[in-house]
Amino acid sequence: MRRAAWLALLPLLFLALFYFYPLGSIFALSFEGGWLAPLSKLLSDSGIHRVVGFTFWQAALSTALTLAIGLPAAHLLARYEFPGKRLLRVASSIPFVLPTLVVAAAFNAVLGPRGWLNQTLLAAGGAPLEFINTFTAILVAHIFYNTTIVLRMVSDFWSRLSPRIEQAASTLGASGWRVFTTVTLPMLAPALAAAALLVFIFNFTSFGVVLVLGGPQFATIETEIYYQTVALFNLPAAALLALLQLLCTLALTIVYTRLSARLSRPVEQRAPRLRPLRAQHSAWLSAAFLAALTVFFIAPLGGLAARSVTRLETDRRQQAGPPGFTLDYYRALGDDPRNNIFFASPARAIQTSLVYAGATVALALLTGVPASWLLAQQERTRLARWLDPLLMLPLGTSALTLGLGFIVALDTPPLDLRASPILVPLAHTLVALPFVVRSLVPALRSIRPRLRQAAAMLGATPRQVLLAIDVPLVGRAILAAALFAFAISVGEFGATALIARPEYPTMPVLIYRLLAQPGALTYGQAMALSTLLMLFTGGGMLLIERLRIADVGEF
Amino acid sequence: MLELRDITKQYDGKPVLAGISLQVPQGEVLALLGPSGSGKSTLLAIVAGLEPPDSGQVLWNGQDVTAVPPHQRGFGLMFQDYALFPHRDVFGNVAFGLQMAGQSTAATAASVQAALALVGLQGFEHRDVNSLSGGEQQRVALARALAPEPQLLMLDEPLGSLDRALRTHLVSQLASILRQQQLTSLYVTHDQEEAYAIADRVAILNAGQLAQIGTPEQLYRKPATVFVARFLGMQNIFPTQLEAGKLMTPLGELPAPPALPGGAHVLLRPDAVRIGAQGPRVLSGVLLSKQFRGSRWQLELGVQDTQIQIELPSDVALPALGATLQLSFDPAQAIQILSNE
Repeated sequence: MRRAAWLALLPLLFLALFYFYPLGSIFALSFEGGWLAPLSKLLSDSGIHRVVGFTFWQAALSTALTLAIGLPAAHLLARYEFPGKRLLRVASSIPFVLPTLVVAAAFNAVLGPRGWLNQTLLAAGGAPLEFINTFTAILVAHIFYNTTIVLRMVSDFWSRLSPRIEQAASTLGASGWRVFTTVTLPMLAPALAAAALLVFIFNFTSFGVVLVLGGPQFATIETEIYYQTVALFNLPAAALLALLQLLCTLALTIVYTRLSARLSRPVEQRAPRLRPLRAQHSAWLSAAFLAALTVFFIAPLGGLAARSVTRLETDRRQQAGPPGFTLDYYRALGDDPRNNIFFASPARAIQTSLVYAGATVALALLTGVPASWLLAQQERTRLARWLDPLLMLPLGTSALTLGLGFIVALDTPPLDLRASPILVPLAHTLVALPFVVRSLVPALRSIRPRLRQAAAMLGATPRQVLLAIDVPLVGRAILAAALFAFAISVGEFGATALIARPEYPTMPVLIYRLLAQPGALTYGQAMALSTLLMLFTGGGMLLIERLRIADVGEF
Repeated sequence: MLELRDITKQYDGKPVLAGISLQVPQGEVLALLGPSGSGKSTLLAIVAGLEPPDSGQVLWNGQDVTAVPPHQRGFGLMFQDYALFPHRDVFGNVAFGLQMAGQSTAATAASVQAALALVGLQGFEHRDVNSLSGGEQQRVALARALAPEPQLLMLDEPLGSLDRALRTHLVSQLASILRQQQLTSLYVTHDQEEAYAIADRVAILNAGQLAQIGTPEQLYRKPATVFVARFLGMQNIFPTQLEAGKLMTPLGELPAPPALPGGAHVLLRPDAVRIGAQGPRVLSGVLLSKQFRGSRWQLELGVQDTQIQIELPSDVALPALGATLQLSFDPAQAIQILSNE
């Protein structure tokens, strides 16, 4: 064992206790009826077939639609310069870092029964549009989330493909469409496949969107684990589904890792040269498409923030004020709408979320910093080669599987944490750890020995080198990692929905409960709470971008 | 004055430096020139104090500084990849050495301004170093190394990562800055044009050994070894044989000098050859190719079974390709004997 090997002890112990032990318990529970029991159950249960079928179907359809919208946009971003390009890039990337509950609330604010569109329609005497609790809602939210993946992965790759190759094809007599299908598409294929698969994985394991926007009539593996656990308390059935989910995501992740390894081989690198959009054949159509896309990304979030300070309904009982601007929903954050054990005031949820997030930050740094330090070392020890993929495993495990594992494993001795408030931060740490490590390692690696030598050559004593070089650079990286853990913790919904104690809901959990309740004030509270959550996570991510030094970072 | 005495260094049992001794007088710019892997950068790291030598001494003004840590040597080093501090802006980078020396804020600001003015980066104080172009980063690195007024400035391939056009432009700027500051400098490069343009003297390193040291002109006029001649891009290097006190070469017999090194080669200077058979030595060869190069012809001649390159003024009349050409040269001027080391 190397000198620094003991650094791996804490992260490994953490993974063993809170990742492998819970997953092992899920396995054990699934195989309780014998080795073939789960298999025969999987093969015979038509309910499971329906759930699995729908999971694949909604993921595939969402992915296809995301590509259909993302590809033309990726092409325009890769090849043309146009006003608002930066705005589109930024706007499309914001949803990706937002919690699912914020996105669900945002679509609710725009297209829900109490949203902008339907309230306007009602006021004008029209019939309301049904969006929430439809299949369309699931698809639209998935497109909203994942288009940025297509834009980033494909358009970056596309912009580096030399247009000379396409020009060569057209001088050889290929028409525009032939050039695209015989030259461009094959060259794009690796990026396209990797992006499509990543989008598929996200759609496949999507939980909050399906649960909140799709409603009870749509069941994916993720939501079914939730129903079986929370509503029916049928843990063996949930465990079987979690096992299935684990195998599916594992297989998908392995394929994705293979694909993206191929992607890192550059085809032909060149500095992209961009033409103005005017030079395009159908410039107006493209401009309209890009404008619509930008609105699509901005409108729900803007609509959410606006809805949280606007009263739309006229209150027949005259208890609330007139329609228009109001801060009532924020003032009501301290009110508990139901006053029973399944509710808490939004203010209490904020408090709970912040405490959990604080604990998550501490735990994630405690495990992530030593692990990252090991991984950042110049020479790759065998330990580091093992540790790296191990730390990434939770990333490929769905949140519901992690949550269920906690419920199955950690409520009985030897490790009985059922009543312990530490359960939620432990789960959040598991989710955050891969992100923390992935943001810390490159930052730590960027502190090249050269910088310390340069400081010494300029007369810095070893102590001054530590204070002027190591502390600021490491400090910045650790701060960024802490913000990552914070943003993930306050936004996490899947695992939290399973394990949070009913009297201590986090912000996303309370938003979910509030959205399911009738009443204008409850709805307003949900809007205000979602807006705050959006600011917490969005602000955290913005700060991380600010803290990033040059080209450091692997995400 | 910098003096190196018999510096040796091994990495994993492989010798990187095998006994380097040299002196750099006050105010001189010495270029360390050599192919990659010749030990130039290692030598620089030893002078800087970043690496200890296995044996040998580094002396500064007669004092042994071999054991002095880098931050107490008062030497400056400009790194090949600049090693700018990514978390500090341009001002913060250039001011670093002054702050470490405990200079007052006002004096630091003034020195930074002066250093930035010297490299032509006024107004860049608060720019993010990560957003600068390669040429700008290079100048920040130079300003940072110059600002604390080091006794000795070392530059490790300072233009290595820049493109050709930018290099030629910056090389003359760098040369004039070094002259202006009258800094004792060590300049590591693998590019001979860069070395010639910047240095007072050039030390050529080969496989951890000093192959030759001298002014650019001395190296050009009298390259000592086959390696030096080849490395400086010279052609027409031929092996020789010693027979009865005569040196047999493809260019004919030459009187062998006393103490002739074994395996000696001869070098024929392409530009020391005239057309015609007036002597003292006459050479006839078949014209294989000719290229017009403005002020001169560049010709390839077949002499027996070897080919030689020569240059003639462009106003001479040339026969057709394949014809025989009579040439004359004076061995004392045109031939240089090289040792094979």
